[in-house]
Amino acid sequence: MISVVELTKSFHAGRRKILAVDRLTFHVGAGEVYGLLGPNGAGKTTTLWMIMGVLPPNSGYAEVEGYRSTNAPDAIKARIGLVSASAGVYPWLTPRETLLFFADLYGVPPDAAAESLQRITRMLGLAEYLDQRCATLSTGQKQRVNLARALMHDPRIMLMDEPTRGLDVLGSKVIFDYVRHLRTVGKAVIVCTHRLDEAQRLCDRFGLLHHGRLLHEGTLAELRERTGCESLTEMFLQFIQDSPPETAVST
Amino acid sequence: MGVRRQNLARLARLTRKELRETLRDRRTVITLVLMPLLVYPLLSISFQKSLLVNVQQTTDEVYSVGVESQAILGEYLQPLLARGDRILKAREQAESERSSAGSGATSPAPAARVSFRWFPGSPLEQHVRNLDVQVGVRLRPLPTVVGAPRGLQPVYCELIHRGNSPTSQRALRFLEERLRAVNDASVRERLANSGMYPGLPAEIAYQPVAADTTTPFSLATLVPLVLILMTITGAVYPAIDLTAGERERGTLETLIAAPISRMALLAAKYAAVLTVAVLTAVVNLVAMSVTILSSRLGAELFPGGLSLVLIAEVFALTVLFAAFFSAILLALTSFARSFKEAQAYLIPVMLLAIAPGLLSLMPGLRLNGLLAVTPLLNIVLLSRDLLEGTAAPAMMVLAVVSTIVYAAAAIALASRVFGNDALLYASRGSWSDLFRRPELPREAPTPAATLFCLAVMFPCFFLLANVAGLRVGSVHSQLILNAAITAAVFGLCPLLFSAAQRVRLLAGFQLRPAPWWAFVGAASLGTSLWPMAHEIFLFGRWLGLASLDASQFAAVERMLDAFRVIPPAVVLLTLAVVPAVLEEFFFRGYLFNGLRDRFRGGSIVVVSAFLFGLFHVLTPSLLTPERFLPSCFMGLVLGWVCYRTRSVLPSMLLHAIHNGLLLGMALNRDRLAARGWNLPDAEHLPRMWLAVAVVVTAAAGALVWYATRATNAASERIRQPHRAD
Repeated sequence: MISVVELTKSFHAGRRKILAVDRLTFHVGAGEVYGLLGPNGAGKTTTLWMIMGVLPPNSGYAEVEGYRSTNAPDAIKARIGLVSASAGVYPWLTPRETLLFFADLYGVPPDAAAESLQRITRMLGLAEYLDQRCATLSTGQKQRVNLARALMHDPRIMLMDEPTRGLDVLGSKVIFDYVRHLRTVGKAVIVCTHRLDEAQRLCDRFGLLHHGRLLHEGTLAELRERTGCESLTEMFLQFIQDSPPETAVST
Repeated sequence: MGVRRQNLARLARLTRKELRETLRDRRTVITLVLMPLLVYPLLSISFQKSLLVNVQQTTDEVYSVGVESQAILGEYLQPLLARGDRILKAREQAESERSSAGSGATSPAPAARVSFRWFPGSPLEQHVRNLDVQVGVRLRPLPTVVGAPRGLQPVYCELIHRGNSPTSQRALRFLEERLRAVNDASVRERLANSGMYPGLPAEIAYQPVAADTTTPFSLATLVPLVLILMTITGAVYPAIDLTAGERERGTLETLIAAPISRMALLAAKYAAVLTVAVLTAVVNLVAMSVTILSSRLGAELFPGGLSLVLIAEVFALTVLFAAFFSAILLALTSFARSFKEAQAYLIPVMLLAIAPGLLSLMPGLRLNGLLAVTPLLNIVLLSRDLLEGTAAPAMMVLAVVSTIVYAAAAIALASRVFGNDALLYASRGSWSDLFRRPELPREAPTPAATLFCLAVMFPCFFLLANVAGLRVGSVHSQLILNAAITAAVFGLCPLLFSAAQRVRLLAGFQLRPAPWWAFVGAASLGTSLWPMAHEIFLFGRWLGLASLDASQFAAVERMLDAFRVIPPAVVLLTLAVVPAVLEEFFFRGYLFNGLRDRFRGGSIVVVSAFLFGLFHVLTPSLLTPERFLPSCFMGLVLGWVCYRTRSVLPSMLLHAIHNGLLLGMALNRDRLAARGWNLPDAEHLPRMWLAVAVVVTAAAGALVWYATRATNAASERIRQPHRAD
């Protein structure tokens, strides 16, 4: 469903050109949860934006269900749901208004949007505060509204950027349940996180990213076999020690 | 049509969401309703007070004068002042009679009174300094003159005053005028009595006259300033909230992840900001009108009183102001990452915006070609002229069109910037990445860059055309200068923009080869279109699209006479070929290609033809609406040829031949007339000519179509789904 091939992106820092993503290649299939793991600044978010077609790559490409991100960004966006830790809500709108607004943005017809709203409200337990202004909701409630928003257009692919950041145990549990649900309904999911312990519980396969480069990729069992380490954290530390420093391309 | 309706309905729904969000915020409501309800009554009260104070100052002023003793006052100063008063009144009456016999009645001089205080034994300077009195008069009797009447014995008067006090100066002038009048009358009387000639070498009389156009006070000059403040007040908060606010709330990322273009998002935000700004202006207008009507200040503030027409005019101007400011504010706040940052950006803009408002108070500043395309100053001066009833239609159209162009460019800039900050911030990028020259070349300019180029070209064209209008040097050099200006505006501007965006020269300007037969068809069209363009020109005049008068036609004739003495090759090159090639370079090259992302097929042809027509109407010194329809017609044909051939070269050929033919006929009219080919400007052409022209045009069009049918079919097959911004 998602193919990332030799994807590369560089930015300018003063007169230096820094490779944020360096020839990244991976694939994610239906019903699979792929963990794109790495510390802050590894290039995870940049990769997500390039997959969605909002940030053009310098070279390489990303394809979603056969659509190439550089050629058909709108077709790709329509197939993707985005959940981000930094996503907020409109304080003066109610969750109902917010969800229907986003359904409209994604071109969902009003009848289908109303149906979707009912289904998601039941699934995430939003009924209690569906018509309350978002400004009055708790952090956990706001987060549920954001999860609901990403599902309103029933996307086949879900991209999650640091979904548990800033959440307590109960909030994180909602995310875990949500991801499990996505897997069971056959969606392709990419979870970007630096919380390796959580990723270990959530994902089927992992890509370890550092300085924009994919250091290793595989299932937990494969990685254990390759490294001899038990946890993702140990593996990651071992990989980082062996990896070369950040690439700066001179201008 | 269905898709367009759906898009409009979607835009309406997006706007409704933005408005709902904005209007639920109490801060907006306070700005919208409470501010005007409080501000105008307060302004009215202070204005009334100020009016009353002014009136009191000019009619009932009482001057306080201090002297050293009551005795000396009664003996010397009071008789002198009383006599001076009588002399001045007599003089005023005589002047009044003279002026009423001549140019009309003058207003009577304001009355004033004097109250005296005496301070025996203490220095007068101290009392003047302590503000006990406005002026002190120290009197010292001089040696008695035999025969002088009582009360007119000579006396030395020392006038003590405060130099920095206006009231003390007015009191001083009051005393001075009377004492000088007495002295003057005494000198004349003595001269007369001595038998000498009593007249003076220079007799002076004062004849005050009113200015030609001014009324006592007109609020019309202040209205632009009030409009700026009103619309800015309304637009600032929603503009920040809907752009920087999205960033601060964290809703921006989810918005740009949605499959909707930034332009559509910005259009909805623009509509919302504009609505709030206009609503604020309406509330302000209602509050202002009610205050003025209830306080009966209408007649004092406006020359003709506060009428419904005046209110409608102010409202129309408010919409124009709001349209401009909403776009500018959105463009600026799109750069901001937070409310605080947005406010920091807007403060200098607000100060800058007030400056043109103050400029409108300058009576000598008139709206001309250059000022009519100067952002903001154009609408400020236009609103002043409109309210004073002195607006010229040409300048009005120019100011409105240029304002719309600038607003569109600002929205285009906002759509380029909006949201990218969030991406860059999350992706280690910086602003320089956004504006950096792309590494890979592009096949076409972006719509935003095209609009921006148009917005830059607009004032450049007027600025350079004004320079050309100075008429320096010979006609020969003038022609070369005009060609250079055309090259700079229509050639250099788009070239610079395309270089900045790394647009491929040949592809970006559609400088592709075209089928040979397409050139033959285009050349034939170049020869056959002029009779139809002429008939369309006459049709436009019949519709009332006419502005040139006999003197302007005579000026054109004089210009043609001047061209006749210059080598024809120079005239043809500078007036026919260079404009044709460069206008095509921009309109059918850069602009046409830049519109491909937003419009399809026929729409590109229509939009580019409309802009082509508009550019031919707007000239720096006058408006030529009669050129609009024929230029649009030519734009449509040129656009169609370019669309079919996917090349600008046949259009250049067509345009150059058309221009050359018209110019050649105008320059050789007498020779053609001698051979029986009369080409009068204001008459229809013979039907046979038109029939031939239509047949040739149809045949040439068919040739172009036939020559390009294979190319077009292939290009439709390989068309990309949609290009990203």
